[in-house]
Amino acid sequence: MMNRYVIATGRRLVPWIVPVTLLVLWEYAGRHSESIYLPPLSDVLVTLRDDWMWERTRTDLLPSLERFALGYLLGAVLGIVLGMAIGSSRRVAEYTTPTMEFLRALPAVAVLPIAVLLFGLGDGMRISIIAFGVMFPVLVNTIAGARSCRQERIDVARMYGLSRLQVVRRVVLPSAIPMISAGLRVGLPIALIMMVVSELVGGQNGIGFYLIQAQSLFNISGMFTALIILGVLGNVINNTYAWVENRRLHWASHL
Amino acid sequence: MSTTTPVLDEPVAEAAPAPLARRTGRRRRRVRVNLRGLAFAVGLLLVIEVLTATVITSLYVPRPSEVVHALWLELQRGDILSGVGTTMGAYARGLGIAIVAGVLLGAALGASRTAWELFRIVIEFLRPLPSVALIPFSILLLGVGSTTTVAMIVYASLWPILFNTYYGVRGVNEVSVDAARTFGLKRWQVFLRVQIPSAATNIATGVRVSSAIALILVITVEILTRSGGLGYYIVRMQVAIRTEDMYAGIVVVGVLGYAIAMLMGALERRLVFWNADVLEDGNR
Amino acid sequence: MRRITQRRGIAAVATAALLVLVSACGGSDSSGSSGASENADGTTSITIATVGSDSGSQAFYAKNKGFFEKHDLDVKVNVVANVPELAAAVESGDAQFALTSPTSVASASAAGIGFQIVAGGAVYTKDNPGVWVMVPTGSDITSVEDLKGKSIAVNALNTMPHLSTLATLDDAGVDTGSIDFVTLDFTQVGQAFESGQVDAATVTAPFNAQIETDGLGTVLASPYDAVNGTDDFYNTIWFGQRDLAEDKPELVESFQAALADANAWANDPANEEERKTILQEYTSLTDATLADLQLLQFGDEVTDEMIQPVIDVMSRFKVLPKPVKASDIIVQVG
Repeated sequence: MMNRYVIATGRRLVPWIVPVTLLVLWEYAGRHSESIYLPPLSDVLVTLRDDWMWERTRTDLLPSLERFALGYLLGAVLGIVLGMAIGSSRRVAEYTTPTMEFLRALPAVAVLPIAVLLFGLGDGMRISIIAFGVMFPVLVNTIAGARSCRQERIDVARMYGLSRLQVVRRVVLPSAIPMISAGLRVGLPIALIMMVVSELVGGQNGIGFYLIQAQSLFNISGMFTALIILGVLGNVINNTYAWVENRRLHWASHL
Repeated sequence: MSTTTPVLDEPVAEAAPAPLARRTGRRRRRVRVNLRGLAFAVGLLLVIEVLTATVITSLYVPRPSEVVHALWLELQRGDILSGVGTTMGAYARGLGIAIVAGVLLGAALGASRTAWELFRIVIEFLRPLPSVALIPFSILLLGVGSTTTVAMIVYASLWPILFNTYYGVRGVNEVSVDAARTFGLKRWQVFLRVQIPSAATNIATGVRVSSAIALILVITVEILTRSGGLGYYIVRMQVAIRTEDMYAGIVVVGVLGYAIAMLMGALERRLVFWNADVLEDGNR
Repeated sequence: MRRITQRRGIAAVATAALLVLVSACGGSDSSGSSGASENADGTTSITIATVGSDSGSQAFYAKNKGFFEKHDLDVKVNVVANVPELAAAVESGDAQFALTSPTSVASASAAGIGFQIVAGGAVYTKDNPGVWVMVPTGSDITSVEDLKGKSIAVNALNTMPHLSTLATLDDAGVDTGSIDFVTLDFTQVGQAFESGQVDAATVTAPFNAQIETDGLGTVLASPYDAVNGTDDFYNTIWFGQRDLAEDKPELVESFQAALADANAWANDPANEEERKTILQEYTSLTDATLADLQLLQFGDEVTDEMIQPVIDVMSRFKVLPKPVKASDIIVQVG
């Protein structure tokens, strides 16, 4: 009995072996290295406390998160709406696919001048950049999801006299939901990347802005804190989404 | 439902672009150019042309016709093409390393629960880190140049391949593994002959997703660090206030992206033919 | 037993994969500490990093006109984006010398990084400042005082364009806290003026000329006038690692000599046409832009008097975490 308990605890500890070892190594290497570019973990944590508790959190992290959320929502809505339009009609798809593929390949940095022109220098431009990045994976998945709806089901619905729009809403959309959901998940890390990119250029606040500021002042500990925050943020966002998705899909599967 | 979701959702998710590519590239159709797609693109360009000539008259937004003209001149001069060579060189190296590393790591993690448990947290932490945020670090460690560019491509394009391989290897039907074992195949033989081939569809999907990511990354890094190639061409033109030429460079990036998407779609159909009908079924 | 061999196999796969990763990442990392290599023919091979603009163009002239060769230097010139990359290039040993602003070397020094200024770059002079505060055409801002409460675009915070603008405002009695500074790449200032997104901007050549030619904006002030009471100071300088300067003073001297030759050639108005041709090769500037460009002058000798004012401006706006003395960051050779 006791033995099993020990084994169970041991199992739970296994995932922490490598991370803890790495952190210890980091601290050790930082303390024994001459290089200013590898500050010990403890220094980084001190900077983390000094900078991010809580002044920077308010002035940089929150604005970043706000843009992230708005940009993500905008991109997701655009992706789903356009995706349903394209996916429900073979013809529309044939017309738009090459243009979409072309636009998809454009890096956000290259689109930036256009975004500045259209949306100015403020948050509008940054949000649009994030939305641009998020839109394509959602769009592509929505199209695929809409296509996966069996023709028979559509035909039956049409026979019952549903209009085209009703068919899309009642038949095509529900069957596309798992794919859309997957696309929304793929969009999350992209939104995070875009958030940083949009702040590297013409930024006034934000995590990306903090990062380049720290870089130009040779504040290496500061650079590391930005990375830590981004890593934690990425995980929190990912896990939150997984949680929401599980609940939603659970609900959807009982439909 | 709950047991299959984590295994299935990711690769399915990223398998999404396939139907798009497949439609236009189906054997018999491949010869036929997608005229409607072309018409739409040309129509859109015309609309922009009219808009930029009338409503949006900014000195910083060239008309499409001006961009096409600039592109034509630049192509003749060859400046833009030498940039493409450098960029694609870094692209190929980065993607190549990412494929090898991603498949090996993904397979190892998929085959061994212990390995997965050991590295899970580190991977979960690293994976959502935006690669652009790593550029400053990479520059400090590796300097400015193709090494940094390649390293960033590897970092960004590793994850889709790694995770698709991981889910592929994990998701192999237990029955086929057992069947293979009863035929007397050793564990590694099962791995090589059963698990890897079954995971091939997933791996191919991961590679296709990464092939798009890698292009975006190579251009972004080149723009941000000015380390040569097409990205440097774009930024050089921007700094030299040659807006048409800058957009000509951006157009080339889009064309490259389109070509890569087509190529990857075609390769995927060729190489993982044994799973093709499954996919076709899934796509009605 | 079989389980164990399995595990081992998997471990081997994992290790191999990790090795691939590590070797891929560490490819060119081991280039040695100094990176300068002496060749059999008595020349020394070095790499230098600079920016692709007039202020960083000395290296192009020295390379093209053979001044490096004359001083037994075999130089590879890399063009790099901006200050952090330049510093990183030198720190990582990728480049032996690089061009940057004195502010960057002072920041590095305050952060404990051993960089030293090895040679002079572009010099500010009253009649050729190289940096201007501009306002959009039709703006009702006619003096520095009018900038109170306005938004001003600068390329990056805590760099000379930003700090000198602060100093100009401060000298004019404008509350600098009322100003909304927007970071914006020089390349996008014209566009921002055109669409009325900022009230003013601090820009360098050739963007000022471009903006004027396009009729988008006009010059309001020359912010560098506020740095050193209109006396000369260094706008850009060349720097390297302190260790390198200590180990190989003769290398630093050859580099200084080659640049001095390049400066003499470039500062001579007779060579303006050729200078612009070489500049065009590296920057792809158009003929029209070049025609309007007022070329910068370069300086040979780096004195405390021409560096300290820059550091003082940094201290004035509390950019440096601790004081830095110009004499500590200027190399002493010969």
